[in-house]
Amino acid sequence: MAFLEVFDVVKDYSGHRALDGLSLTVEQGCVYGLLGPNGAGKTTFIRILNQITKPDSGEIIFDGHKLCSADIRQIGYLPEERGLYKKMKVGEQALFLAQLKGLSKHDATIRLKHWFEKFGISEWWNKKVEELSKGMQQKVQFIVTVLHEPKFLIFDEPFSGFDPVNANLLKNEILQLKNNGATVIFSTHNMSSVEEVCDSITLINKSKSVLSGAVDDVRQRFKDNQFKVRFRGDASNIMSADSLVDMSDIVTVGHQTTAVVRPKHDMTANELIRYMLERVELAGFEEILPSMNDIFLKVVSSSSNQ
Amino acid sequence: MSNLQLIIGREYWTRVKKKSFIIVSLLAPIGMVVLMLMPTLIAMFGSSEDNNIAVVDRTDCYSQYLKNTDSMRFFFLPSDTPEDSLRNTFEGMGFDAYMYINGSPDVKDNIRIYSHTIMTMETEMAIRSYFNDALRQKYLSEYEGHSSQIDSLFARVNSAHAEIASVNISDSDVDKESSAAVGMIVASVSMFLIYMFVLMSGSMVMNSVMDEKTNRIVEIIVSSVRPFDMMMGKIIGIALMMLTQIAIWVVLSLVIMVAASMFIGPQVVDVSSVAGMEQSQEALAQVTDNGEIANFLQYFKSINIFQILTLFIVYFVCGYLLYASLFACIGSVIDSPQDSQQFVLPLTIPIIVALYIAIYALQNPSGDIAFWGSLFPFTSPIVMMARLPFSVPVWQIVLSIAILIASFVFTIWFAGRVYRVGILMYGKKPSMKEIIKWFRQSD
Repeated sequence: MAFLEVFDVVKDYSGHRALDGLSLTVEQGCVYGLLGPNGAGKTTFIRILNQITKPDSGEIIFDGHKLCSADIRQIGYLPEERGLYKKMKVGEQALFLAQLKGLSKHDATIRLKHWFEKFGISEWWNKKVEELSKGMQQKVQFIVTVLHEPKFLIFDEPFSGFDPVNANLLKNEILQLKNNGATVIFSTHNMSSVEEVCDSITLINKSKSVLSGAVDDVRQRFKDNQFKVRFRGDASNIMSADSLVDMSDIVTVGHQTTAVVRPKHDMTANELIRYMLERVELAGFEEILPSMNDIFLKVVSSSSNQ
Repeated sequence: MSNLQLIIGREYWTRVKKKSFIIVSLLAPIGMVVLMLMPTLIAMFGSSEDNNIAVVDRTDCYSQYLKNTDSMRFFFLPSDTPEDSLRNTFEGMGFDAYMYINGSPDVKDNIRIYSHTIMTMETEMAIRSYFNDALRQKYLSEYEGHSSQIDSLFARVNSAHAEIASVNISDSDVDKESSAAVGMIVASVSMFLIYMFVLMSGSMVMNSVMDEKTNRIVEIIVSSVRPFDMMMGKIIGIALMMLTQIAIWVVLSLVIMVAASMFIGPQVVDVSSVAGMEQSQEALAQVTDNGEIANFLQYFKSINIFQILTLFIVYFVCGYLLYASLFACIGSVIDSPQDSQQFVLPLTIPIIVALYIAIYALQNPSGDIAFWGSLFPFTSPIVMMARLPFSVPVWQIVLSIAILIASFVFTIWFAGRVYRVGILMYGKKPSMKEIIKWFRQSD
């Protein structure tokens, strides 16, 4: 079931079109990657979802109805540029931000205590924010984002500035939220994290959606029939002039050789395996899917050249 | 609780709980009272120079009571000496002041002392006590033979109080009675207060907005609060903080003054020094029922202090809203304190100009400049304060407030539209053209 449907959203900023007919569908309970180079229009789209600004045209269906101001309380937003009041105490501040999301002071306190314990920062409750390290502040910001248990979460570059330990903690929390039924939009430049957490993506370039779909499908779509093989035997058996495959990146250690092969003509994986088996002793065979990073670069550069 | 209330609460409480707020709230009234009491204390305990006072006693009853002292000598002139001539000649004759006694001292204006300088406390107290003696004698003699009324007699004798009007002769032809001086003081104190508060709180609003923008907390808040609520919450929260501070000052000053007057004696509470503390009059009158305060209250009645107080609050709040919204607008536009100079200047200039017009208006409260200055919204809150004690036509006050309200409604609307775009824009300093563009941009 679709949780969020966006139809043909257009947003103009005096003389500059920030979003040009963006449409996308986010399924309930998935992590949806919003990708794109800087200035592509991701932040504008996120601000439209947060109702900080309104689209000039287009429609947004949120949880079955037209997006309205009451939905703000169902959304948790962790902006890329985020800060806290430096002179305010951590607990006070978290309470304030939680109340802005509609939690009562009582509920907010209970939930905050729970989260603070979970993240091991209970002793920071009465410290001023300026005394906290950056990582600590980010934990507080994350807690505030999810505290009101929103159905819909927007993380804009959540990992920037996190050390690997905390980044991992955050990643697990995001997956946990997903398992609990929340729908997550995940905007990032970090393509390896996209492969790890995203179910589907949309790639925005120059205000337009240039690629979208499930991560697996997208990678399948962009695969260029390359396979990683490991075998024993004479590599020249395959490399003969009339061979049906090209082979590159050949590394031989002892009797074992690894290489990348690509069929010259249309050939299924099974046909390729059969072809290989006839010539060498095959020890390993794996399809090479392009990384999201490669796809990103390829799509952005080709759509930018148009 | 609505989000607006939450924002107001946060702005208010984080400021009110600050150590600096508490210190300023506590120390300022103490400093103010010390400053205010200083001249009185000096006048009271300092030795006054020789005073030669010419006395024209038209009743011929009081010469026996006015006794010469080391520092004060009375010279009795013929009772038919005309006032006009004495006024021009008394200094040439070697007198520092001259006094007319036209009747019983317990009737107002019967005793008038004219001088070029303000009489010291000591002199005035001495003269008053002489006349109080005279009054007691008079009352006693009136009751001779009516011993049954001894109780009311005692009450009357004890409350004997001579009314003495001291008149300062100014260089101009018109004698300024002390009520004019009180009006002057009320005017200057209230206009300076508005000037100070608007400037202070305005830059507080600006810095606070800029702070939120530069440390990016605004990104988090704006996802749950409308930018307009965010701006108004800040403006209202800071206004409440200022009003709290004023209230603390008034109450504390009052307590200190009352304590001081009980400790050193009621006379210490000098008429002119209390003028700034309009609110304190009633309480003071309850605690210290003496001539100075009574006179003081009378002066106040003549300039309608209730009206001034109400209008002070109206003009303070309206002027604050006008300027604070524009300061918030600037705070949302700029990225760093260094940039603020250029934008703040066009705002501080009208405030400073207003102060100059107001100072001019003190001299000439109904002149053209004062009139237009009290209508123009950017100067009216300060200029009108200078004019108020000198009876301004009601239509002018109403018109001025109407213009001011219309103006702040407009500036808040304008600021709100720039603010919602400005707080999310980083990087280069925008030009005026861009700001106008933001203003016109749709949501």
